[in-house]
Amino acid sequence: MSNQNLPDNGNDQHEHPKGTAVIMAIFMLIIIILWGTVYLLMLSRGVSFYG
Amino acid sequence: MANKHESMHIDSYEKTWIIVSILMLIVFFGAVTVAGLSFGVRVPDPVQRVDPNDLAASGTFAEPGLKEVAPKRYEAYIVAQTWSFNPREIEIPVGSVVKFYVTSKDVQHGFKLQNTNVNMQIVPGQVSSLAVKFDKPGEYDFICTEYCGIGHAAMYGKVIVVP
Repeated sequence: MSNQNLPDNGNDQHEHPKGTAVIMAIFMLIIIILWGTVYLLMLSRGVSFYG
Repeated sequence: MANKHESMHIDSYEKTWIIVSILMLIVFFGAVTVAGLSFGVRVPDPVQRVDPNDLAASGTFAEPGLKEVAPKRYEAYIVAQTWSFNPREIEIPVGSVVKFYVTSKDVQHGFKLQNTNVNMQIVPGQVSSLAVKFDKPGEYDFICTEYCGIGHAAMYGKVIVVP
């Protein structure tokens, strides 16, 4: 008989979701590159306030 | 009964994500602080209130246009209205600093000056202001970035920087 319907008592050792972690890492890398590019572009365009 | 340590357990992935989130907040805060304090990048400032129904009474917007306040320092007073900017063209010499003062006569508009950090919301009754130094000759288009009606796409102008 399959035990798939048995309730999870919370003591089972689950594996870490490695695929999800890789997707999150790639997502973060893309965000860092895009955000950093725009940030550096903004700094290169210079001052927007002259007193 | 579960002991205290078991009830406080945080998964290592969760812990990593919490640390990364806090680091991101620190990086964003640092980036904004550095841009604002060291590089002089500011968000647009509402500098003045005017009556949109009577801009002539405001003085500065009675005759919109470019005013030279010092050698290579200008103030540009621009009125946005459906669907044009007044004035539509501004010509300045290279190396000039121009402080833009923009207001709206009717509805909400946007004012984005291409290839610069100038990007403002133009709200009726309020004057938005930002400045920029033009170090390279050429044409810099400014466009309305807030959909303001059927002629929105035709609402643009340009700053001509001559050598």
